Amino acid sequence: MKLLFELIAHQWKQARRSSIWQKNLAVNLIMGFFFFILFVELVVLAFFLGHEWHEIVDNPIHSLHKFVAWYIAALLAVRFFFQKLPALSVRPYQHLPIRKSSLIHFLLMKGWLNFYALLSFIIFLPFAVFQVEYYHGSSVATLWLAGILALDAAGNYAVFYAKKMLSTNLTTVSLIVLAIALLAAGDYLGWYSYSGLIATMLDYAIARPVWLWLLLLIPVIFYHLNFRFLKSSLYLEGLNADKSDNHVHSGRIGYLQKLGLIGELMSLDIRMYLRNKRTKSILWMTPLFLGYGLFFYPNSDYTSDSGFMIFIGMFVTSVMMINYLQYAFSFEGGFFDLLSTSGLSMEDYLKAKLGLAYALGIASFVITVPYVYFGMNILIIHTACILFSLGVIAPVILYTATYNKKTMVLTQGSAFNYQGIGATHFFIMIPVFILPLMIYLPFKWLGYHETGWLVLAGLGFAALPFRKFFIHLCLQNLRNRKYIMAEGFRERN
Amino acid sequence: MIQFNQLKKIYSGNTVLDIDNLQIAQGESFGLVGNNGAGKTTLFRLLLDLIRANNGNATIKNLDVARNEDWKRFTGSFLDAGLLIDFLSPEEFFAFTGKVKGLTKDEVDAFLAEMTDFFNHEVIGKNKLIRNLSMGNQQKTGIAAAMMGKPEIVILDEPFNSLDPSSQIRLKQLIKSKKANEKITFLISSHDLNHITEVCDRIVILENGKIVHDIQTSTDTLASLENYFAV
Repeated sequence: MKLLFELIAHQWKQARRSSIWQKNLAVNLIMGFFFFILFVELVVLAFFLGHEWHEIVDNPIHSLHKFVAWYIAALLAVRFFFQKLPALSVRPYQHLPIRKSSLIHFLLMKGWLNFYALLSFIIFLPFAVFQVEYYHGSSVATLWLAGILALDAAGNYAVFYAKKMLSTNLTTVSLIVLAIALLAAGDYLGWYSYSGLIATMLDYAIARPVWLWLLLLIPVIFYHLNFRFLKSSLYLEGLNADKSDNHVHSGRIGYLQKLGLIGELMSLDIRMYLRNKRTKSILWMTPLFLGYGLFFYPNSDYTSDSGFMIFIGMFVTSVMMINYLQYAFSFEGGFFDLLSTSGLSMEDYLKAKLGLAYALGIASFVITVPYVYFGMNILIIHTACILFSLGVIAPVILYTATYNKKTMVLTQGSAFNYQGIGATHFFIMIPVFILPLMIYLPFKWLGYHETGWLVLAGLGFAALPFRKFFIHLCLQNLRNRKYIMAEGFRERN
Repeated sequence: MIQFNQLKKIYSGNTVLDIDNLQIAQGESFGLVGNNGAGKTTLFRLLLDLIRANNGNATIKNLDVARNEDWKRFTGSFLDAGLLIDFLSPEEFFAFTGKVKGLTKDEVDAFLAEMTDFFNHEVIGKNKLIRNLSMGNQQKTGIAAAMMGKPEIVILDEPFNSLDPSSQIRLKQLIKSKKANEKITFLISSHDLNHITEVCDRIVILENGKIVHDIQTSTDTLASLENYFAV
């Protein structure tokens, strides 16, 4: 037991001493501020929901249990896709005379005590205090909260176990997504009610608290299953060998082969995106970026503010492109030395970057055309935004991307990972959103918002033929900065 | 062929490299030895224009490497993992390098056939990405890529590291045959005095960034090197 605490203390030290905390004060402040705001908002929201729940819904406890059912299901899905047993963290201890079962306990504890567990606690504490306590008394409320957290922990361990049993390849993942979609659709169409079923069971348990004690047993069972499996599989290292790693998408696109070296460079970037964890998690975010408009476009409060619409339009049509361009060099920091000694024409290199960025921008634009359902204005604004992005924003970002001189470690996921991100990343984003507004707003204030759209589109369109000139500017800048960049990229932790 | 003139590199007040004059002739195989921190890698990086000199310059065929990029067409190099693209398979990496060096697909295949012995069936056709290869096989991939496209100069930083004994011997044979048949100028650094005396005609010892010995290899070179580094 004492040993377990020692191991946990090591984890704490590791987190504290990671280079992120020691360098880069500005980024820490900005990110810290964002996380703090998010955290406060979450706490306030949870408090508000818990406190006002009986005002919002008719049958508070039953509705609460329905919410629990969906929450657990959603978290289960998130966990399945993003969480895995942190098996690597025991590697430095495996050769030491530490009992294997201690290491497994440590692994399983570490796998549970994370952000998600805290999230569940924050969300359900107010419900327990304001709702369950009011109807059923404080001892039941405590037991109820423990029971819900136990359900969540059970989900956590069930996911670990399921992931060990299933191999995570594309087929299994697709099947699981399909199964979840079918279940949700069945519920939605009223064939059966998943949430109703769970809620009824929980209602039954809360009225007879003995049953709540049983909830606490579920995670113990799954914990034990995991423990037995890990203990019998003898070598922990075999657990994290990602077998699918070598069977990768070829990333070969026939058309690009015709473009010679530029096409080859584009293929290289496509492969980079498909084969690295960090870039892949950016790709997973794509639906969220492109679907961002759905939060705003259906609501006339937002669509009536045309300045805000420009902002959303820029985001939806260009964020993929901007994301690609601003990391254009730092994602490749790991082999920047190769690129600069191999005799590769830097002009071709930049042309490939810009070409792929255009492809991403145009693809985003085409995919988001259906937003026209919410109004013709949206399509017009999107057209103006994408033209402005392609013509003006893309070269600007390519130019400023040379100021990102830290290698992004590609083998780690991108959620909550800001290794390699410097303060410059935030400054780069400013012109992207401010510039179009600065051009558009004066027209809007004078009452000519349609002229404003036209000017935005026209500027972008007029800038397109000057691509060669922009590339030349970027090339000069790259030449000037290449030693600084190369040195920055070489400093890898 | 290669010339260093009053070359100086200073990192935060410390002079890590200070070379008055050093010339390397065409076809010469040049060995660089020295303890850690002596400036071997810095010298190679300066020659490859990866870092900026504080003073002086390096020239290849009388052209300053920092001002003219022609040397890149006929210079191959492998220093460290920064010259590998780890998310490609070795086949894809060679295809990419071949394309950059202007080789056709057939020429790339012919080159890989030539490397069969050196690879010892551990690099090609394994369906692995470079990042999943062992250190030794990554090293072989990088060394081979440096020799692609008929280079006139090949720069290798500690190429014998992480290679198994048979591969070390094969690498020595490869270097000797490339040197004899294609007149390649080799610049090689190593901590292994045996290997370096075997493949190099000339050996320079660096110490704290300065050249302290410059010897043509002969039968007693190994003994004198061992004597120099003895503690």
